[in-house]
Amino acid sequence: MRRTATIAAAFGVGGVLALALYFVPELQRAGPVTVAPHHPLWIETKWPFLMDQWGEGKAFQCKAVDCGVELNLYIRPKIGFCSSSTGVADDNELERLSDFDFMNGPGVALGEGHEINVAWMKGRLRTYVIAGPNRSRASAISIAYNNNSDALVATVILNDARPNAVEPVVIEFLNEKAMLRWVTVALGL
Amino acid sequence: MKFRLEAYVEFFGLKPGIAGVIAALLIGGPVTAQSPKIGDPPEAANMRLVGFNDLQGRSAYQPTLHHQGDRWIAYIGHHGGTDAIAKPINPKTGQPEFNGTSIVDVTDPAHPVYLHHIPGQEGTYEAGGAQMTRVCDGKDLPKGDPRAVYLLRTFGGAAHEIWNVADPANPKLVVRLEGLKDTHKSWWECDTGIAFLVSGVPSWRIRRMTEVYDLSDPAKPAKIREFGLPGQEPGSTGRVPTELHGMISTGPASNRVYFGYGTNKGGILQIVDRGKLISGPKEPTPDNLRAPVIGEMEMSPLNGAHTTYPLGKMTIPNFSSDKFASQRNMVMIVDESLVNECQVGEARQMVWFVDATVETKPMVVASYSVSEASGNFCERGGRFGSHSSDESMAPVFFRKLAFVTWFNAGVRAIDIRDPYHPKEVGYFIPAITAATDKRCIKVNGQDACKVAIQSNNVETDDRGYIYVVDRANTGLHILEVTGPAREIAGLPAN
Repeated sequence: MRRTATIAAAFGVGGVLALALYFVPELQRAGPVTVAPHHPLWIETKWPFLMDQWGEGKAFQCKAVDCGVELNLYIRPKIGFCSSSTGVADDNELERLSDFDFMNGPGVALGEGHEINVAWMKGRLRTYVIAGPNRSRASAISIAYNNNSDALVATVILNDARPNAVEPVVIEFLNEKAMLRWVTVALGL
Repeated sequence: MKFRLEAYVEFFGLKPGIAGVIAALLIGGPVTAQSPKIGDPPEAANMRLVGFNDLQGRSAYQPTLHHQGDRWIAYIGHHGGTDAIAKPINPKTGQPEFNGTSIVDVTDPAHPVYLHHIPGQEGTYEAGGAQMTRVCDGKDLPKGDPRAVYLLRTFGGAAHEIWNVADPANPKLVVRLEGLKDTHKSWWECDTGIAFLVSGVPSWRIRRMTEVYDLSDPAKPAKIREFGLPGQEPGSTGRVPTELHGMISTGPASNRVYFGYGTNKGGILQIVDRGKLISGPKEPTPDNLRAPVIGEMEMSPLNGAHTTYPLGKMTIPNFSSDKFASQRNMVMIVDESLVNECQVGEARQMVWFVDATVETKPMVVASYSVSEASGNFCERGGRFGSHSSDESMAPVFFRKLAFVTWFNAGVRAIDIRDPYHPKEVGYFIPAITAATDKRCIKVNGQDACKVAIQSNNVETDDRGYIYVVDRANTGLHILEVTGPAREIAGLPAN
């Protein structure tokens, strides 16, 4: 049984590795991301997704001229969906909260996630390459952070860039006063 | 960094309702005209109170009734404590004890006697406690000690435990199954010993999935397999399907287990071949997880599947003259409400009746919900919406009356003899007491709290008594049906 499990795990890991190797060369050829200007400009856009059990959130865009690469960010609260005692403690919990359906293709994780802070809230961030047709270079960032048992889940979709290079821009945006005011309202604080 | 929102201002204005204005103006705890007061009588129709026990002021979850010799014993699981009282005093010992399991003699339901409290895990509210209980006689289990009575309970989110409660006033720990990241409900077949446990095995991507155990000898538990939805298992990637809430098995003869996933959102009813689940390949690969599944029904994402209660084959009155399919295989699904005072974050949770005659294509055919306007329940305080039903299949009520808890609307009695047209035939909303804990929402950033009953879980016994326990620490109410509801059950007039 252990041998079977080992073989199965090897195929699983091999499959993930194969997908990553398929897309990593494209990302490597993409070249360095243009350093973002000091004043990225985020504009609210229309929520593009169909209604589901979590309802609509808010959508924002930062154009390439402002952020170095076009970023589309989708954020919404998931009320009562997080453990108030452990928070977003690990990648499993982050992925349970994540909106993978927003990625328009299977997301393959680029390594492990890491902790982040948004104001008083702790959370976690992980980056993904999106496996699309024609060796698409889309990638994504999934972020979840919590206030007690309520979670905020943000998904950033970007084309043709290394997602970890824009993490600081995204985290800075989430920490903006206006975003935190919206979070306060959305969570009923 | 610049930030520009076209419709920014609408998210900065709150328009509090009248209740919120009153709440904001009152000092030291707002209570509106809609909130019950201590001293108000219970509200009832065709149900009446027989007996009461305060359960030491502990927040209560699953009651299980067991006939032991010539006694009836209630085993009641508890949530964790409150912020104010994390470790209530047990008056029987004089010691502070984390909420665990209450054991109450209900042989005389009018005078229940509190026998013992088994402490649980440290924690408050959803953390800690010992929420779940199931009981089997040793003489019924294939390899149990015939002198023993076994209580299967959870220990917070950390473990499942089995206790010998042959002497319910002096329980003894038999075994602990630990190393879990969460637990919740369970189902134990006393005739086979097979148990289905809601567990959080650390390697899985979800807090709650299924462990299948052979507990035919409770002292020597044997794990059979792990089970869940594909995408939850170790090594899977991408979206994580919604977590398990509970399951009910119909045993080897009917050969089905009914799983409910997603307690208040994204509900899924899963109908599983019990034999294939127990005997099939055990490695949690997607194919092996799909192999025992006969049918699945995804509910509207706005509702969940807290309880999936199989009613089995029922003759539908309106179809009784039909030469084909006059009997239908029915399942009752109960959502769980999680949000106080009908606030943002949740649609109305209720009860659904599913025709699973074609097991590969179950379909909702009816629903039942309490009229909010009948009691202004959204303003009373706490949760309003369904939670849990009785799960007994004893003939006194099975396929005739179902009892469903509705938080601040108490417990509701539903005539389910025609599951295509369920009808409410009774209710009981217990009175609050000084022990009843408050429930709060935020109004303009401030806590606005109300005190209201939060009828949480319900079970029945073979004699026809109904046991309702309160999540807000009020205690145990033992009820009986009266009038037309009693006639439906076929009980003698009282």
